[in-house]
Amino acid sequence: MTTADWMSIQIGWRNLWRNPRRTLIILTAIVIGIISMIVMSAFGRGMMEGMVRNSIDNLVGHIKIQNPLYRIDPAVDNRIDTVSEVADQISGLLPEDGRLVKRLRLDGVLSTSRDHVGVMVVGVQPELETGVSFIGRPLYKGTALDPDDTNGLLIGQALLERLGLEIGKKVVLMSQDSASEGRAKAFRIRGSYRTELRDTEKRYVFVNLHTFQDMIGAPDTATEIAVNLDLATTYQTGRIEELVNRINEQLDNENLAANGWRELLPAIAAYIDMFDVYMLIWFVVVFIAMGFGLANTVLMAVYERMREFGLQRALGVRATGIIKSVIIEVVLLLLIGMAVADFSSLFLVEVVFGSGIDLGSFGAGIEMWGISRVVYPVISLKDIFMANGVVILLGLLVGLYPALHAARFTPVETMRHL
Amino acid sequence: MAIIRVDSVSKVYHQGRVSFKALDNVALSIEKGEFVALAGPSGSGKTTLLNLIGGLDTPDEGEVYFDHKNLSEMNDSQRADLRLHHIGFVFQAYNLIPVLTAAENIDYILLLQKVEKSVRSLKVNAILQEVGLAEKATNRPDELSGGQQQRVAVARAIITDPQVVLADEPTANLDSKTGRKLLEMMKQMNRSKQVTFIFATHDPMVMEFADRLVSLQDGRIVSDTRK
Repeated sequence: MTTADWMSIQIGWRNLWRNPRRTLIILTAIVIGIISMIVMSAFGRGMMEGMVRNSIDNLVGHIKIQNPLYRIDPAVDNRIDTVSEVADQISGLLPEDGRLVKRLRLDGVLSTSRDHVGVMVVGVQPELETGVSFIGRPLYKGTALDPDDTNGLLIGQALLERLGLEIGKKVVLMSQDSASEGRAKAFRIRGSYRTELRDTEKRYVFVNLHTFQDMIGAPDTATEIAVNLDLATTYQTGRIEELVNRINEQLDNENLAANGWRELLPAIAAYIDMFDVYMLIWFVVVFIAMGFGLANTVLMAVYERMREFGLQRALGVRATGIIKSVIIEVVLLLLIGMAVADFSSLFLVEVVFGSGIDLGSFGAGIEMWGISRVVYPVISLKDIFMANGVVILLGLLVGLYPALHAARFTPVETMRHL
Repeated sequence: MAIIRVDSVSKVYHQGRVSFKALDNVALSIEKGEFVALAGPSGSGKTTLLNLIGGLDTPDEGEVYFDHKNLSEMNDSQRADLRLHHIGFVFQAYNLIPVLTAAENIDYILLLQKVEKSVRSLKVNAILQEVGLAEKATNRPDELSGGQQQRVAVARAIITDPQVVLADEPTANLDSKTGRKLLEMMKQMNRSKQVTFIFATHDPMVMEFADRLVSLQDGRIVSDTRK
């Protein structure tokens, strides 16, 4: 950068503050525009993050190893036999932060003295589910399943209420055994759980894995092995993909396959992929509204300073020099706006909305989409770069219009305005 | 040797459907180091002639030569470069860039010429001393009187050692005492640096200072006298 360029920046900066009110008004528009871009994208990402976490939490996990046929037909025939052996093999491949759980998940019927309802019976290792799925979290009511408990059952609070049951009551579960024959066993309700989604509460009942294995007559059986890693955000799919590949390469059992959550939840993965495009469109729409104001303001400033541009041309500044000087002013305006907006957005997202935005009043609607009631906005560097990039690139384009106008003023024309 | 030659130049301005012949077949030759006043009433064509000489405008007919170079054959950027390196301008008003101080206004032209910083500082300080505005170096134009602003403009016009300084009504907004001081300063520079000064004016005091008086009327030269 030459000294003349520094002088142009100095002139541009001082020109901006010749009419502070006008500059502040357009700066406010730019700042609000950029804040809306960044905060909205953070909110959107937060919603998406919540949606992904809920789904992963909902017995999916970051990685799941199962018989591929089970995904099409979740029947007992598509189970994993000698699951302990498989689990041991996978455990050897896990990084330090990897956690592994086995689950046996089959359709069943829960009967009370008055009612029958279709449920998904899940045999779990309760002590290992902490940090892997929602059932590892503290219960809403009652006590957790003891690993030695052979007839304890956990039920969703919504189903408990629907069936008019209470903690301690007895229910009967029916499911198919390993030979596809019906089996039934009585259980006592030990506790109830709550989740973000009421449908989940109505669908799943949990018993100890070994109890369920005994019930269906298939010891050392599961239908899935779930693996979770310690990830700051669910967007860090690189480690997951790497581990999936490693497991698939080294798994002896050809009837099993490992899949990452993106393959297990393709609709959500596709939504995430489209999110960036949505955001880009949103950014451009916001900028278009902002761009008109910017062009108008700079054009006004240019017409006010016709004589100065004429003088500069008379002194020997080329037309390109005039264009450059106007563009410098536009860029300075945008840079100030971007700096203020970026810091304000960070403040809003991290401090003001840091404890989450409660969407409780939209309860049923958001639940349908699997979105958490409380959204924690997630600020992403990519969104900040994209918002700032859109503003600076389109800002330069918009700024070209008044700049070209200014360059067209001839000294003689402007002298006539004296 | 003629530094400026104007050959049969005509210029017509159009405003809506009305055409106005500002210059009509004007011919003029100005030697290096002359102190020339183009005089005449408003609308006589003196500013138009000054603009054509400075390459700010182009003639409809005829040619203008600056140091034997035909301005009509130059493009816009070449004419801008010619003005930057060889011509200084002083206008009636709005001579200075409002956001720059007196020193920065003078420095600006040197910056455009890509002169080194150390040289620039020396030249700017020296010229501010010369025009008697050293103590006003950091003042912006709105903190200077009309006379002081014109002196800054003159300083800016001559700091690049131009061959020609073109001044359009430089004293029009000044009281006679300030105007005289300004003219004395320019005259002194004309003598010491052999800079050619050409004024467009109807101020009798400028005419009194001039060595040569070219009178225009209705776009034609009606008299050309040397003192």
